[in-house]
Amino acid sequence: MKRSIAAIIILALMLFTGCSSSHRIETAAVIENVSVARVSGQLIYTFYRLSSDEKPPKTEIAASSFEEACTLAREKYIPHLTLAKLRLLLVHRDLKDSVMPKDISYISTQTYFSPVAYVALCDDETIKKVGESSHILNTVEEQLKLCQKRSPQVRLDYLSIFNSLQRDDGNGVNIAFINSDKELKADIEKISVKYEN
Amino acid sequence: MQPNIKFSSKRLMLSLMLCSCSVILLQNHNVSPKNSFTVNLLCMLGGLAVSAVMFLPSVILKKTRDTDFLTVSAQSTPKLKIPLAAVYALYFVYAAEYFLLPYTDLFCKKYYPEVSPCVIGLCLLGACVYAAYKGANIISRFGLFLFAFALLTNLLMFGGSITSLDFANDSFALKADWDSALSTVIYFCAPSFIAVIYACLAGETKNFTLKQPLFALFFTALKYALVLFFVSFAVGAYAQRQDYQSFILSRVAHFDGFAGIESLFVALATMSVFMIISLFLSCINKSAQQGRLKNSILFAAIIFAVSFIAEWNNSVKEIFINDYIFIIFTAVVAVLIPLAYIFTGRKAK
Repeated sequence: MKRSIAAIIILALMLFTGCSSSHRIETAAVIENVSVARVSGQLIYTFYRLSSDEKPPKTEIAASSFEEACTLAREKYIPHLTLAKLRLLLVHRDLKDSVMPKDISYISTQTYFSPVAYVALCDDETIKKVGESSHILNTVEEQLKLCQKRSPQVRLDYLSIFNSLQRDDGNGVNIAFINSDKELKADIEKISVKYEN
Repeated sequence: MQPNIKFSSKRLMLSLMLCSCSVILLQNHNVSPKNSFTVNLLCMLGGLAVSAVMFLPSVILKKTRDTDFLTVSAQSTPKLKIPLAAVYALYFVYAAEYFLLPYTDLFCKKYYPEVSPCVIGLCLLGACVYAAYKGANIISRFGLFLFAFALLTNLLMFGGSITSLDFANDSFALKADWDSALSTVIYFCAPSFIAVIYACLAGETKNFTLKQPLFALFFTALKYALVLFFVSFAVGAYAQRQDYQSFILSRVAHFDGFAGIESLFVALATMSVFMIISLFLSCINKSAQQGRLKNSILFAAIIFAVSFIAEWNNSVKEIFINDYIFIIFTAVVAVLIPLAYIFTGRKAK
């Protein structure tokens, strides 16, 4: 009897650590992907939420960096913001040197981001398509995987991009560029910015 | 409760091995990024060699007299029983804080930021009191389950990080910064605390062979080497931007669509710290030799009170997580005091 009670208590404690935040996830705004582009001279971060709808619900935030956008999102727009399930950060090609390294540097200091989530550059059309259909995210991910098969030197996630930029010797780092001239396709683009420690 | 029945020495050693393996789970900037992987590996081997030396007095006592240090001291100097019990109790309280504080910090920073560290500490200590009341035999049985769980978690953690390996992240060259190399060696001496537990509980076990502590230290070295390897080559510079570098490995681990095994990592850390503190409380019970439940509750309350103070006062916390103080204290209780008894015993003969 005593053993059974002890086993139940231990099991309950173990489950408690794993499921205690489950009620939060139901009510939270789980962000699946974020895109960043310059619109009318202002940086706009678009947060796309996880949803079963055909068109993903989005929140557009004008901010100077991803750090500021996340803070504003939490304080003003999405109080239960959850970024732990972020799968993709899409950065407009024009911002590859000015915004992307700064945002990746910020992400590398935060606990809740998955280090193996994808980061890619894109054009205007891709950003539009991502806002129109939830399925585009899967297509982009498939294209990124195909791109890695074709060119193993391409860096796709925060972890590898951050590490490659850290040791960049001036030759640049190959990252994916999602191009939608005819259909969505991943090409390779070089960025070359070294972080200051 | 079967206090007089001896259990397998292998089982105790397996539990001690799991305890020593868990040290690296709570690693937080203790391994210097200024040194290359090879230098850190050598530091680790140096630290574990010191740990092996600290095992010697208790192993000598077990091999020659088939008993533990606490029994020997109680028989040869009954008048010193209370001061010795006080010294060992002080050590175990300090060592419990050394593991409890980083664990609650890891839990709250990395896994569940909305909970107070004191609540986590209280829940864990409650479970430890019950385990210590049941005794080292039962705790070592729990070690069998923990071994299987640790094996699964480590397989997933390392297996899932293989695709992230990038050998440009670090090098195998001997690039060292000697000051930080010394502190890394000191950090890797931390597993020597298992020698103190063994010095207290060895008398409760049977069928001891010299291979057992050697295997325990060998597998600890293997686990540490794997963690160092994957943190250096799979996580690289990214690890230095965050706290608890071993934890990052559990976030990096991924199998196609499935990413992150941090729940398993935190569960492994929880169970390991639970076993360490339970064994510490068992050792305190052994040194007091009476009132198991009362002793466990009293010392768990002391550990909780100290951790509560440490959570509010950072300078107190720094004292309790200081590697140098921990190693010096461990050397005193694992080596100096038992050696004094071994040599005075020989002279008396």
